[in-house]
Amino acid sequence: MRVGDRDPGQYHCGVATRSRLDPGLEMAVQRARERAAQTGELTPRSGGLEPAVPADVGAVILELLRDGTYAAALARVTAGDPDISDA
Amino acid sequence: MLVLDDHHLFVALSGNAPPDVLRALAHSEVFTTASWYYRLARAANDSTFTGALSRRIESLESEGRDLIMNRLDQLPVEIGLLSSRTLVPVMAKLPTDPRLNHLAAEAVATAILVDGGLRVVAASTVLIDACNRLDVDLVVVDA
Repeated sequence: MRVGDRDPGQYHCGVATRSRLDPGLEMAVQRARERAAQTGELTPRSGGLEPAVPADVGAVILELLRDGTYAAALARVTAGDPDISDA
Repeated sequence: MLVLDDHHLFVALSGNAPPDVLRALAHSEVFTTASWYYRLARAANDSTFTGALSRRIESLESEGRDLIMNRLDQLPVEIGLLSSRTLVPVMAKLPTDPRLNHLAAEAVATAILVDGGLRVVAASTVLIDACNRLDVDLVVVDA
């Protein structure tokens, strides 16, 4: 599912500013972008994740994600903590 | 820019990132949030989860398991993570009707700030509504 269509917006500090933001939010976004640009937060280091994870270990993680093991662990973690739940 | 939830982040950290995420990593364009990182780290340290992981990985090289757990202890610098100092002023200005929980507010604020799209496994109607109203791309897809 895809929600929302991108529009080109306006650009500030090299990144797009959405035209639909209310003025208070837009000002907060511009200030935060300026701050983040100064601290380098907007540009994480480029490149792949090294060293590579062995393929068989990676396959086990995928299996745990897809067979519900991770989801069950996550349900225990988020139970009673609505601020980090998907609900 | 891609903003990954905990499921998609786990996929990436375990060496299973799909081609578009690998391309994004190569261009400094992958982010997550503290809430999603926190959820992943907590869930991956859940005793039942670690038990299942250990059992299935028993016959394999333990090096790979340690590598993944180390990545959870020290999120690789290739994954962007905005600070609260940057995010909170924006989160505080997000619409409050309906109210976003902390996880959703952080995700939406991050997407706006990095001009990115959210990639999640599950989305609440409140998050979907906020993304629509604020023109944030939201892709819901299995990890």
